[in-house]
Amino acid sequence: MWPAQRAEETPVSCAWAQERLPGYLDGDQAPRDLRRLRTHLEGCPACRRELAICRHTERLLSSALPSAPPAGDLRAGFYARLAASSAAARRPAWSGWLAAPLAVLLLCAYLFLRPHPAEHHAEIASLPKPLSAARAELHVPAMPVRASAQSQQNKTRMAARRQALAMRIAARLRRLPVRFASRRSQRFLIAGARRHSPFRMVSVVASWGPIHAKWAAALHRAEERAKQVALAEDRQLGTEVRQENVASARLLPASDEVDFSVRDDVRGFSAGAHVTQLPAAENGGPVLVIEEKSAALSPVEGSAAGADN
Amino acid sequence: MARRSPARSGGSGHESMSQEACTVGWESLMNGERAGTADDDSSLVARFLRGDSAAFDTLFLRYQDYVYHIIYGIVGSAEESRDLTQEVFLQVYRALPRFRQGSRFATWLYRIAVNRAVDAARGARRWRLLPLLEEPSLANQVAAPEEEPQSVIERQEARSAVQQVLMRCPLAHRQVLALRYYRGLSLEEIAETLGCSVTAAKVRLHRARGVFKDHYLAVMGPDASDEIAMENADVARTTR
Repeated sequence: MWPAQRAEETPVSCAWAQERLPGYLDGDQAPRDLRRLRTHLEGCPACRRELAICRHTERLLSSALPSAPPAGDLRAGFYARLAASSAAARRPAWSGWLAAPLAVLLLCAYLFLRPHPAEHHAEIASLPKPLSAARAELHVPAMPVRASAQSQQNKTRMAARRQALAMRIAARLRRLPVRFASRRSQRFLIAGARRHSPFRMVSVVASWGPIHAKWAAALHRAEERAKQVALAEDRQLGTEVRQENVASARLLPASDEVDFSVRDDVRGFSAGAHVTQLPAAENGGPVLVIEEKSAALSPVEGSAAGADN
Repeated sequence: MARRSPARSGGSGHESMSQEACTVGWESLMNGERAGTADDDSSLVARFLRGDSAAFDTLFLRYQDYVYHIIYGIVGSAEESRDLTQEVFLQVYRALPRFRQGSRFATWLYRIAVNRAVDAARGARRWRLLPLLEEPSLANQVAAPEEEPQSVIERQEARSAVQQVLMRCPLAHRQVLALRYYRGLSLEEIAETLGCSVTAAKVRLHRARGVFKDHYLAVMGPDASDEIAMENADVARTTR
């Protein structure tokens, strides 16, 4: 008897079979191994289940390709960056020589003139709390609005889809401790994560340019602090979102507006927000505007609400 | 929703896949329309180096989605991926004069994209930049009247589950999974992009799939069992 024939008759172990399952899925298996593997699979429910799991995850991965971003957006951004970098490259050579001593001078000035850390704390404390009608602007993909002459069935479908979208927005907001959106001329800041309510972060928004220097410093400190809190919170709580936390989500009659509230019994907060999608932004993309319905969140009875800040 | 078919540029790869591969729909990725041939890319690069900026524009349009997808698979944020894609092309624009004409443009580009995405993913721990609304596809799918909302949502949830699991995988595994599943590269192309042998790429891919599977089962828990039970029944049918 040839050795190859003897090998075919030898039963294989589960470990041997499971090691070859990825190759089996790829169709990358020697014919002899394939025969032995198939024989084993016929008689081994555990390995069949393992193959089922592998196939399922393979199928998931293969279908997970995200849809492509709008090509126009990327090109416009790319050429804007290219123009900016070319302009920087065209600066006269002496400006580089001037920059270093200037930076040293500025650093010295900062070290001498900076306020005491305790004053920063006072500045942060002096931020208006809560800021009414706090706003956040974020770029979101366009959501097509259907024509008004729709059948009732389509309207119901749209409502269901938007309802799902609203839930998703709520879920997203619920798990975000810190968010930044930046533009060339302005920097919007949404920060202020609290230990007990990451949702409450949607409270500070500042335009970086025209704002008073004192405010800018205070906001910068708030930003740093929020980041630390958010990271600590991330470790403590994880980022899992449970949809049942979303207490209500309804769509307003106007096109792409969502009104929702979130209730978290575990951490003892409820909060609400109003989300509107505006048709255009500076850079041509749509903008999502979030306004808190009430910046003063209602602590649920018996909670540890507001322990931070 | 019309999903753009992922394409590869050059390389024969795993066209010979048979057996189970065809049952998992992978062949649709592998047989996708190709972005452009290596010769085509080389001539565009040569034209760009001669001062024809339109040639770079063509390359940009050809590869922007592919680069974006690779980065997205590693970074997990659409907004950040768009940003990084532009940075990658900026880097490519500046580095093209140093590009060796013997090598393939696509592989070189993907390598830059992977490196940039890995750097960004490592630095992302400094702060969290999460998109509010990560589902452009959901927005697009809203306009498809023939599809039930429930199936749209289910598909979207499956996609978001994959991304969630992927983000739990170590970066080394994410790279290879992104190249394979978010770009549809063959093992040969993955090896070329990552600068390793085909055997090493194969081992890395197998390990990465295993890690993904373990994380998936840990994250989804009982939610995954129904799907797996259906798959199991299918496997039992096909192996008898």
